[in-house]
Amino acid sequence: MIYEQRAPETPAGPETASDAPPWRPAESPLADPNVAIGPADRYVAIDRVDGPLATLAVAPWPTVEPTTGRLDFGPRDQRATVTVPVDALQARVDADRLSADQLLRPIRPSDVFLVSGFGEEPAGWQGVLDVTRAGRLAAKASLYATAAPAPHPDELEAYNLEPRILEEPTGPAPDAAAGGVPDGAGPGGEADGEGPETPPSGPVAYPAV
Amino acid sequence: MARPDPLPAARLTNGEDFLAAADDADLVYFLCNVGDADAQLVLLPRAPASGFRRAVVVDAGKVDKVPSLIDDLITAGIIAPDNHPEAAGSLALVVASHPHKDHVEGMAELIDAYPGGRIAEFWDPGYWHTIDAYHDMMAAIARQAQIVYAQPTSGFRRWIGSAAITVLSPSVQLRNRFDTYGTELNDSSISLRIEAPAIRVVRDAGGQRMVRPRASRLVLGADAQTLSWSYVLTDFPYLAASTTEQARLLDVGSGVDVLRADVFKVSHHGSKHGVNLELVERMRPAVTLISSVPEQGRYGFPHDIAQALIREALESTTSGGTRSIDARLRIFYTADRDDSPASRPLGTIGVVLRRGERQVWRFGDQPDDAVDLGAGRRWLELP
Repeated sequence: MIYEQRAPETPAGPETASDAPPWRPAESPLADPNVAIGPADRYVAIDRVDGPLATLAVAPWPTVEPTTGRLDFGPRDQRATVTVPVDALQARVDADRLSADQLLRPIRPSDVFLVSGFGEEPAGWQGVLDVTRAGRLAAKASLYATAAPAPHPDELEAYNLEPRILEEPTGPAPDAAAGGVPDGAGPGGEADGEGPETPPSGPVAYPAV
Repeated sequence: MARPDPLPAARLTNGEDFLAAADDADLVYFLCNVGDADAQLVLLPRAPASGFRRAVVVDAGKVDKVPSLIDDLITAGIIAPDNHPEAAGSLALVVASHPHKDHVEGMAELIDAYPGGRIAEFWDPGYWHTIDAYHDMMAAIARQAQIVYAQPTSGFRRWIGSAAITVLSPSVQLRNRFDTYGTELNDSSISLRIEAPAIRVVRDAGGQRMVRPRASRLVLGADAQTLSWSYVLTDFPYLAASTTEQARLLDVGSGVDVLRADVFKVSHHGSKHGVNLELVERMRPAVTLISSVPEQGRYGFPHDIAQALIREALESTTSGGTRSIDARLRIFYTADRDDSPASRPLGTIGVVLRRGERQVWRFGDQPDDAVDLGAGRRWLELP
């Protein structure tokens, strides 16, 4: 018998996948189902920064795969890798961060944006929405869902957790002026939920991704 | 960098059979030509009781390149076919060195191409990345529950048949900083040393004795940069050989440099941050390989500084003397071309390693081409 780390995930068939809802990142205007996400909107992640150049991984805005909850980026032929000057990217991102009342900060690899009117020149983008926190949480969920099996409902009961996890960690309010918004993960890279200063009481959960 | 000097076409054979050149006990390494990306495959020695070899894949930076090579190796009878009992686990290990797109873009397709237990184990450094290819890769692993998923750090050792694989990086100190942005993504890279045959124990009626065969050693540097290599140099110190009677009586394990390599795949396509002089001096590779595009490409790799220090490590000019050309130092690039009027691309590099000796082969493919195993041309070393 072969020991299996987890049960295999079976994605929905194509007929179901075509009806999959778009990903609506928590804590963003996109969480409102009335906010339209257009077919031309793009998921843009900063793959790497090499000196003055940023490499962007560009894909159609993902849907949420109905049976696994994973992000599905669609056909490969609609994806691209684009290299842009860091300065131009920073300027374009900052412009919309200001208007959206988002924190101004240097761009970093793994930052995620919804871009409307994407083209190879950032200055020409129609709109940019920073959804980095939700994007990183989704990437972490992607890893942990692969590494270990999803909990059985009985386990959730034993952990005193609701199957649908929506509450935020209950740490002290982040001090944006002192260095930005902590993302809630522990310093060891584990999603153990320790807050930045005071550990929250009781079970710790994350927003749905 | 300047375009690599053309290699003399007269030093490349025609009509030799690459597959026939490798004995069962040889280690065979492919550095695929995927442009400004990485894709590698290692064929482990065939066990005498087995009809086939097992393979290790390190990175798939381009869709189709590695699956195409694997399919050809299956067709050629090197790797077990689908309906054979030895097909299970024949891709003994797949490694995504780190989740930059130029290393994992083809990973999901690779995993999906081989369902049913052919892939035994998958490693990545545990650095979550937000790009689409990372999500695709994780979903593909999740679809095959029999694949053992692991995140090794430096010092981890895994034996597969007669081969020993040592993880050189990342240091656990680097991994513990992944989620704080404290580690640059390149420095999360899994770099490996693959040695075959490893130390063995012979057992017979007289008892057991340990034998250390003359092994072949690969060091695959992924995209590890200065910080990561600094931990490697600390974690794997060279312990000078002790010749005292006390050391002999204690069988002290000194005088072996774990970083010595017959073949070194230079990290980060020859980025100036990818290697340093002391590191290459420690490795003293007989063959040094760089995955690159012909003329700088998107990022200016390989960098002049990296090339210069690799050359200096292989041939010190501190006391004067003229610098040898790269081919004489056995520095090869996937972007190499020959000096024929047609300036033919030399493409994917194959190395057959046997007890520390090695043959270098070239397959003539461009980044978007499949590797044609029948097109292999053996490099004849310069006189």
